[in-house]
Amino acid sequence: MVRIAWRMLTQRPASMLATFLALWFAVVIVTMCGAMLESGIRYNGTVARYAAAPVLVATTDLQVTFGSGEDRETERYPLAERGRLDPSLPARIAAAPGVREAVTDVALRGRLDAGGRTAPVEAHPWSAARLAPFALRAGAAPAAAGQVVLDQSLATRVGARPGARVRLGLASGVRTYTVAGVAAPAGRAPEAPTVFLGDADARALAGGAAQVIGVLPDPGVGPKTLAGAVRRVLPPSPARLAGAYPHVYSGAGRGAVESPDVGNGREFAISVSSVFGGCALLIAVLVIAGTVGLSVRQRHRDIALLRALAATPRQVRRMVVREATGLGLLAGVLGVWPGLLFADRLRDQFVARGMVPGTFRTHLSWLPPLVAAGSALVIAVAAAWMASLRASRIRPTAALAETAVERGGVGLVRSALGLVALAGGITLCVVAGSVSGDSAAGTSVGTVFTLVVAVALLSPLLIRAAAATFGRLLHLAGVTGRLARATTATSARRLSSVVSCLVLAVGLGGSLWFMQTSELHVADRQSRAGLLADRVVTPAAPGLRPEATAAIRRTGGVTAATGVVHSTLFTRQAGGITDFPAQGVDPEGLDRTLDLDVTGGDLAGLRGDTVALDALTAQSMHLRVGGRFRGWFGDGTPVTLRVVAIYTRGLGFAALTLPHDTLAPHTGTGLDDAVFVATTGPRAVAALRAELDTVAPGSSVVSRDAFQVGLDHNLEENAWTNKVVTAVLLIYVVIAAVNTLAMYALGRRREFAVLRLSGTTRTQVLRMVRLEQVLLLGLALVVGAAIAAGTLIPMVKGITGSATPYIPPGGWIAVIGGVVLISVVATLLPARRVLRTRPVDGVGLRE
Amino acid sequence: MNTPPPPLTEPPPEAAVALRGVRKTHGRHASAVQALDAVDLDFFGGTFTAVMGPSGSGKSTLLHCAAGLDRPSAGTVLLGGTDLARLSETELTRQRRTRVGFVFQAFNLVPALTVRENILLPSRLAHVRPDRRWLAEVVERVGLRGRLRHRPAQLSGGEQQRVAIARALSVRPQVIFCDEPTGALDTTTAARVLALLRQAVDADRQTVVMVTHDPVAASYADRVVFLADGRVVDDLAAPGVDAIAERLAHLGSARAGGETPSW
Repeated sequence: MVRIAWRMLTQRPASMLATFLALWFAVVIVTMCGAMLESGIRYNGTVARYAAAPVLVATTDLQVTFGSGEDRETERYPLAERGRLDPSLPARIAAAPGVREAVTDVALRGRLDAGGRTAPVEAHPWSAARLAPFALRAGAAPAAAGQVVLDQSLATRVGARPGARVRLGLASGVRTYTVAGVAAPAGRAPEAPTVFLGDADARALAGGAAQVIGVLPDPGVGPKTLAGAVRRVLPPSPARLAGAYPHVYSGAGRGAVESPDVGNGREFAISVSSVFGGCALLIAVLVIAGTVGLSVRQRHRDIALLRALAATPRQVRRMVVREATGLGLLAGVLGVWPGLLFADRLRDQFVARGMVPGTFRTHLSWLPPLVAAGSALVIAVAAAWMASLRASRIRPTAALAETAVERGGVGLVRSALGLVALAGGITLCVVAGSVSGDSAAGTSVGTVFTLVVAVALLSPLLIRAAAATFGRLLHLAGVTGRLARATTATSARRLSSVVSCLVLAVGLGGSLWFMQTSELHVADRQSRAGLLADRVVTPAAPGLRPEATAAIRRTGGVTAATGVVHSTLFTRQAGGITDFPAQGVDPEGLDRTLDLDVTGGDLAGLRGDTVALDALTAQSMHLRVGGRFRGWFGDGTPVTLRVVAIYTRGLGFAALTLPHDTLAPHTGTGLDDAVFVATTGPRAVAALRAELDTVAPGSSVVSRDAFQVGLDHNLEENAWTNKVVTAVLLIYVVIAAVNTLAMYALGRRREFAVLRLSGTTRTQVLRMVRLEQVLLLGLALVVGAAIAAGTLIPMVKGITGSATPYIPPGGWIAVIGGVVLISVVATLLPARRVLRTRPVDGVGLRE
Repeated sequence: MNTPPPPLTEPPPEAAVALRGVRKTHGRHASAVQALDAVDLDFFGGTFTAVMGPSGSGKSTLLHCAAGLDRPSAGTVLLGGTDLARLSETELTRQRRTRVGFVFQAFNLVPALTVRENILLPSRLAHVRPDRRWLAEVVERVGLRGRLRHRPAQLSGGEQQRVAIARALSVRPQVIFCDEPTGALDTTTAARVLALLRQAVDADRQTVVMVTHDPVAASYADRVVFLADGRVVDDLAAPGVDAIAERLAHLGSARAGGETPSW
């Protein structure tokens, strides 16, 4: 049996290859996503700065409990910035049993300038140096105010020795310090270069509150015991969580405390890989079911012959399932390696683009490849099982028939399921209008998937209807047109796999791709229209101090300067925690630098605990001017803000606009990310540059036109990721479409031979195939475009406020040209090849 | 081959295949076609029967029903005493693979398998160890010893049909059903194929039922059954070619109202 199955399979290398490719690609993508997901879950960053403290206490995430009873669930969301701890906490922890000492730490981001060489740094109090521990290599500890210790690699980089004078720019201002000593860590060096301040200086600059408490144990106390003791000292968490709470971290989990980027990177890797992998699996189900189904259908006659000779329905089913199992195993074995390789490449890209920190490592284990290969196998076997049920129903007498003509209409069950899927898809389209942001891509794939399932189920009807309706036009093309119409109508079932793949390609490509172009287009248009300032100052990392912004404002020829600080605000919505990009600006002079297109209220009222909202955000939160926005700052501090204005250009700038001084204290640096400057002309710009050289070296001044959408880092990050995900999924779908088209064309040997023997010339057969393609691709384009539009329009409306998706000219060319190209490559070339066999040989044996 | 081998099975007490009141209707409702109309027919063991009739007379349907490839709408089909109508699809297949052999007009062989594998296919599917001596003899008889490793595509039409006969003989079935076995062959090749079938009947007491519309082919049979409009209209014992042709011509004109026969 196995031998027969194998022989029958190798007899049709095209369909074997098609099934294998469909499976292999699924394994590659799912392995890649699985490896990325596991890496994300296991990613804890590295422990360097706190290597000597077995237990840490810090606030790194926001936790909110949703639902009640059985559905009760607590969602965790990493904070954008490190939260501040209760000032009484260090003393309480220090008093806990087994605790030798509770060392407080705080990180201040800034910029160090030594003899013209500068570097972004993190400033910490010297008392926290023993958490690594750092040990002095030269000089002494900071004994008095105005003294610092540099970490060794930083000291080498800026060329500073004990006794040297360095300038340290922090949010609170620039001060000159004397280098008292140089220290090096006992183990691994922390990611960020470190400057240690005297404790008094650090306390003054940080405003007193600690961000991290490092707990050092009494001799003989293990990390577990210590963690338990400290946990008992922390205030008990309420039954229903809503906010940021201090937690105890030990072991590898301490990495997330060292840098807030760790939590965000982990969140990013997990969400991207699960959406990506989930979409790939959904698509794999459709593609593999279609390919396996078609390959079984193509062997209709062979199977009928086996049935007539001696094969029981069970034997036929087993043969089909075994084939799929074999191919599934092979695809699994060959697919996991490139999958793991691509996971590594993807990690490099993520790191290079700053989406995950450099300490992110791909964790390669046996689990994701096993899951990927296993799920491909399950899909293959399930698809083969479905196809085999059909195959085993093939009547043995079909082997004796002269030609294989498809019988019967579409079953009642199939039609009913098709209509249910259609109804579900339409519902999802409507629901999708209320979804925004990150989940949009996932939702659109779900919607497209449901609609394509509907199309796949109803496609025989659809194809027959199209052949009946547009067939009249084909008749104008004479006898070949009539042939094309007839063959299409009678092969409707075999063509259904082909049409579903093409519809999937057009629908998925259209919705995913044009979703992004629409979003980016609107963001770009809004930021271009809304930016009134003629120059933008972009500072060197980590940002621009408020006095620098003030200095810019005072420069001659500058009529207005608005410092912008970016952060994230969280709020709870029905489905979970939502994060919004937020910007902090000073309303003074804002009318000359920034036009957010206010539709209600007034930005002049932006003082104290107030907020202005983007119209779509306000709508989704049911807020109006005078309402209250309740949520959390990026560092987890709860906040209630009064809504003073509603504006429309949220996508181009930020969904929330807060007073500068309200937002800045809750950002990691407290520094401005950009300054929008209105000037009187080129001379003012020259003066501005001169001023910047003294107050903020390393900054650059760009003209308005050169300042791109880059305003919202999130948008850009999402755009790149979405592009990659879309591209990979599209490649998969296109390969599947090419597969099924080629399989169909190569399976027509006998049909072509019969046509040729009845007097049709080669040219006429090719003409017929071309006309069929016009019908088929026309159908796929129309249905695919309808699906794309149905998915796209509500979502574009939800995200941009305008119902018209933006489709770049290249987009039209790519979609239509791509489909035509697929048809040429996947149908006309195989058809030519098939026509090269002598008709007499073709008619003899195979179908 | 001079001494006839011992009977493979005890001569069946009754007909190898018996049809009782078999009806077959294709399609439903208004467009229904009555392909077989209350056919009673016995095919006796060790005989060679030809079934003839104009196109559409129901001869292929008769063959399909008798062989268990298709189920009659009414009536019973007894294959060696087993009522096929009572069997499930799987049991039906089991019956087919051990008790029935097939030779079709074309598309007979699995193109992916070699000649040898094609011949062994029914045994393989039935998980039966083939009788090597018998196989060697069958292969020798059909004259394909040198061609066992070839693929069907490398053979001529006559050779392919001989492979099909070898395959049918390989399991020593109770009945071999042939559907136009010479339809695609030239006269000389056809004669060789028919002689093989005749030999199986004479030498091995094999039962053969053959549908054909070629009077020459039918003249190899011991008995010719004529069908028209789904009924048995005549049953002749070993008629000559001329008698068959004349009977057929008469049938055709009676049915089509003077038109030329459709073959």
